[in-house]
Amino acid sequence: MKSDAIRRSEAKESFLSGIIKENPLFVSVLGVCPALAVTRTFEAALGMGFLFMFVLICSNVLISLLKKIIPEEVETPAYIVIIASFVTITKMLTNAFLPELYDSLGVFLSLLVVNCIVLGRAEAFANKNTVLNSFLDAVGNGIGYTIAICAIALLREILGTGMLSFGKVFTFIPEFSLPILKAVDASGDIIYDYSLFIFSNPAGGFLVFGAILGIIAAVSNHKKTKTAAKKRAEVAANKAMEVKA
Amino acid sequence: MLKNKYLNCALVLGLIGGISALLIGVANAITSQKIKDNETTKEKSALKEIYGDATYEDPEILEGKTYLVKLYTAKVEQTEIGFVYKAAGKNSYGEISLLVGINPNGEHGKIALVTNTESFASVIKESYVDLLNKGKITLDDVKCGATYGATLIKNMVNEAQNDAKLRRGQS
Repeated sequence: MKSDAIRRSEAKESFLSGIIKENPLFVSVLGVCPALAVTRTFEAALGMGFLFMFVLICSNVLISLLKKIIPEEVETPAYIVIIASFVTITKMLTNAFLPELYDSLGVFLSLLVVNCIVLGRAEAFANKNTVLNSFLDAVGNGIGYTIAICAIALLREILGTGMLSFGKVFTFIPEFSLPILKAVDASGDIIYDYSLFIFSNPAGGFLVFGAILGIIAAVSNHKKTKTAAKKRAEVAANKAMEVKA
Repeated sequence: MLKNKYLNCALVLGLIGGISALLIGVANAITSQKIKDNETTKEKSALKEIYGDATYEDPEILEGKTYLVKLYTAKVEQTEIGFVYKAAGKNSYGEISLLVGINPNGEHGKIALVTNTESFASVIKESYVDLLNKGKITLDDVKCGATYGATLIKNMVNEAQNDAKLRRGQS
């Protein structure tokens, strides 16, 4: 029997690992296709993130509940059926209650069925862990993926359009734009425009994604080098102590 | 033993299929009417985009056509000012449904997208449909960065133009 402290620590690890340490997009580089396709605007990316999280939570919880009765031979087909069902339900609900989001995500919402993060978490985590830990893992990975695609979308929208627009996809909030790199006066004339259209195109998605991965790799390498140098200094100091002794 | 194994797999898959069907059925019951209402609202606003000051009677349902689904007759004070066709089609990149106005001379007027789930949806709208509506390009200028989607729209509009010509005895 596991103690409460171990259980709590496992639950915490399940939740936190997907957000930063094992971020599905920036660290594991999974789910790249929708991440590049739906990150043209911040609102669409945020919507995709929430829908992704909903599908991931529902499928992880159900798979964890059924893990003992699903035979090993039919694990993958069973998971695909479960994931496809939740994607279908998500599509129906989005089409009914957020039709603008449904239109802006287009075919990429249906493609969640074959998203490697959802299937990956089912196979690597939910079928081996408790329902609570699977739920927390899904929430953590969902938040991590949402943060990652929103970061890409934020940069792409600002660089590509010069503005941040709200209310076009989430129509329940009033429509407004924040001018950042582009300003327009009341008559519609452009005052200044430093935006680069390429960032609104798929190529811009690759550029921003590559730049973010580059920054993450540079920071992680810097940390590793620093740790290695510290260790080397410690070893040298120990040797010097031994020689003195 | 072997038989039991297969039976077990079949039973589990059947159970999962049953749970999925139940969940989808419930979601469908909740959302189907709302989705229909949304489509009707979209279609009404698209009709206004095409002939803003026209009134429309109940549409004629078209059968046996490749893309054409419905035909509205646009009238101003009982005088016909054009046809509006609803067309729907799909390709490997998604689905498109649209309304296209056909002027009395047989040429297409404005095009309004009702649904557009193509992977290049924004390119189709901004680089093809919007430019067609502004008269900056022709129907054949499909090389817009979303060639397959634009070709689908072109085929839909062509079918509407041909049907309108037949109805008016212009062919």
